[in-house]
Amino acid sequence: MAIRVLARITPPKPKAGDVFKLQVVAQHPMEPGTRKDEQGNLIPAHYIDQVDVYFEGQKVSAILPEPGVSANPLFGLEFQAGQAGTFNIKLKDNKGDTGEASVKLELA
Amino acid sequence: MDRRLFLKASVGVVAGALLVPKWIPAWAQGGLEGEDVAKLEPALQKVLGKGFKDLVPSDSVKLTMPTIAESGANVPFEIAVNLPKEQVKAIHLFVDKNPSPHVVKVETGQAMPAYASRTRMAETSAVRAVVETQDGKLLMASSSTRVTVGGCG
Amino acid sequence: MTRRELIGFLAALGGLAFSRRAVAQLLENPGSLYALPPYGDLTLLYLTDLHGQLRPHYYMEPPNLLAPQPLLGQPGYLTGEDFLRYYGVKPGSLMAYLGSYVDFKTLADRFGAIGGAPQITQLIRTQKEAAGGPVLVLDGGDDWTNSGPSLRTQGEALVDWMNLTGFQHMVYHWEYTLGRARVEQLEKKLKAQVLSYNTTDDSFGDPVYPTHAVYPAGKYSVGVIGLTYPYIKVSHPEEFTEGLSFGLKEQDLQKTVDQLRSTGVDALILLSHGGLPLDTALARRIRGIDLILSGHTHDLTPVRLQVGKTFVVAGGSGGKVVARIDLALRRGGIEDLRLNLLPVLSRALPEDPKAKALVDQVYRSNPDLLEPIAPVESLLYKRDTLYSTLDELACRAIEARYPEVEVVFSPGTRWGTTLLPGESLTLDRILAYTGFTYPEVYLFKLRGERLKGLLEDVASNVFTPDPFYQQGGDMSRTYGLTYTLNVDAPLGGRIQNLEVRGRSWDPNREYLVAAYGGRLQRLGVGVDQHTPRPVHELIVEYAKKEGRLNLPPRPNVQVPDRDYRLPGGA
Repeated sequence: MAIRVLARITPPKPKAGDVFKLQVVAQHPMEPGTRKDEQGNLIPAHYIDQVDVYFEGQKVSAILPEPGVSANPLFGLEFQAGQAGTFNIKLKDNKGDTGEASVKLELA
Repeated sequence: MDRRLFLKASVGVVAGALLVPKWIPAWAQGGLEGEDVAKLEPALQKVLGKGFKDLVPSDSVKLTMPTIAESGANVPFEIAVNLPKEQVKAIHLFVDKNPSPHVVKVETGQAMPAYASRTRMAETSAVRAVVETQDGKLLMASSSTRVTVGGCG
Repeated sequence: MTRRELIGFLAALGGLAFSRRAVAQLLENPGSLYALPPYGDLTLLYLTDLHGQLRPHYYMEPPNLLAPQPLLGQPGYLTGEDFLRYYGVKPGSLMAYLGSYVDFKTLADRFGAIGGAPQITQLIRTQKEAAGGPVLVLDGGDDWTNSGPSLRTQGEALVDWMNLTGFQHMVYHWEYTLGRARVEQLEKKLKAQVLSYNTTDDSFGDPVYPTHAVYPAGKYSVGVIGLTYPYIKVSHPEEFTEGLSFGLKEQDLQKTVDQLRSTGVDALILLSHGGLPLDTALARRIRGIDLILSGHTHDLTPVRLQVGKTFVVAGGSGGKVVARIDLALRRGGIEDLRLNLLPVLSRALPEDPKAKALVDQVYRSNPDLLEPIAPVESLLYKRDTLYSTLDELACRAIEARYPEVEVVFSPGTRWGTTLLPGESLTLDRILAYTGFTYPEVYLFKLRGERLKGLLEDVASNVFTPDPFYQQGGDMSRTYGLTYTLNVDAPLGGRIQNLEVRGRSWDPNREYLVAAYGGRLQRLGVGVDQHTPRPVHELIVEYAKKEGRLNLPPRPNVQVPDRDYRLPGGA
């Protein structure tokens, strides 16, 4: 099943040379693997373990979350604005589900 | 009513009261609540191949955490590294007392050396931002966040 | 106002004890109490922590607010004679009635019930007219919930009343126990604007409400920033606030302050539901706030407090007072501040007809609320750090229904009411202290070790010396067990000599526990074949069966390090 992912840039149109935020939010339980259900059985870990960030097709950063990251995780990076282009974010979880989002960087 | 009574009555009402702190807050005493290096050590070894003694506390790393978590399920944190991005290889977050202390590794690459996210915290704990530099140093900033089961409103 | 009137006003509040005749005169001609001359550039009318109390009632301030050693004697922990001494209030005066439990029954007879929504509306209206300049009407939160009218209308009666009264801004806490969806529905009707720098959504972490509002005041401008109670998720079931985060977010507060300062706002007011201890701590840590209006802990400050350059005013609870704060401004701040706590004396104040119609309508639609259930023969009150007779009543009612239960927990909320001997217990009064949207009584098994750990954890929240770490209300009340409380001990050492039903506590034994109005049941193993029932139903059943209520205090906690006192049985 596809993981729902949202990405955005703040401020939406930075000036060249300015630092902007790239924020990615995924809808995911991020089950830590340490909790028990009502019958007392351990709920197995289920978490996003890789987030790759591409700009204009080139990988620019990677995040490797562990089960300790909160549910519906927010991943927040910062970049310096150079040229306009498109960010692609690809992520996957430990069960092999994947998700994707993209956001355009436009310059002021 | 005579004037003396008026003055007596008005003193408190008009003047107000100046509060001077008597307590010394924990954050001013330098103690790190919830520190558990013994629990942290194996995670450091596994992730970095190094131990706690190899981590260098550094003013170049800033870790911003709440003093007290509103909910252990969702504790926001921000890490900012005051170094050129070319010098930074990766940023990590560790929570000493979590069942599994390592929370995240960020290979910053072309990004600025900064990261903001939210972590689970099982209980009150020390928290570490660890920065791997390109020349192999491990820089650290520590903080502490209190987590409670809470009372009633 | 002439000097004589001023003298009369000050004396009435704090200076003089009143003879019966003087009181009668005062109540006949209350104008002198409320006739304040215009002053300064901006007037604030501030109410907080009404907790849904639309009708006049009694509210006795706590006999004890036990403080950890470093906070002893500080506002926020002042009760009884200490309160009177600190603020220079004369015993027997009106302010003594409002602010301390000393001689409560006598003074309650003398001055009558406090509060009443129609009285508050009328008072705010006349004060607005008398202010002679711009006025802001502000609500500090905990307004919509915890009463019969609130529960029967899911908060709507309170929103209607706020609209009628002309509130311009408010902040939240217990409002969220109506559930986020209901809160958002009521917001469509609410004319006041909610302010909050610290309510954020759980996706990108954006603020959900405007963080602040700015108003002109003569030649100056004033900013109001809102602080939602930071620990809503810790204090209440999480499902009420799904998708939202709160927390203190001090850095965000400082940013908001700095940003407003940089745009040339002259004075900054924090409308806070942080509570007096936390708010005074915030005043020390955040640069650039001129005034904090402090709700949540129900403290009353007869005089303005000052922390560094920041004024702090706390506004009581239950509709006891409306604070009028007249501000003389200057470039970049407050030149002077006049605080007058206007007592809402229900006998003396006229009622606003529209507000009265609204309140009457609610009670007409819910006639069961005011039916007498049982006569009250001893003082029933709620607020104290450790014990109250209203909690005793709730616990006995639970015990009567479930005799097998060994330990009962009753939540240490600050809201509640007081019943005088001679009054009748009604469902309205029961809901004034048990009016939860989650009122179910849960039965569960708890190992001794956890039971003590739980007490330690709650005590740690309540008695931590750094206000930044304090959460929640007073200590959970317990029934069926006794212990010695060591206030200043570190975590794990505060609860001593623990006994359950007269036998020493066993860490390895399982105890059958009942609790309501919280989440304690999650710590234990639920008892099968038990359908949870609302606590107020059990209290009604118990009171009917008893026929009359005589519950002199039977404190179950010893506090050797403090002068822990309860207001006698009679």
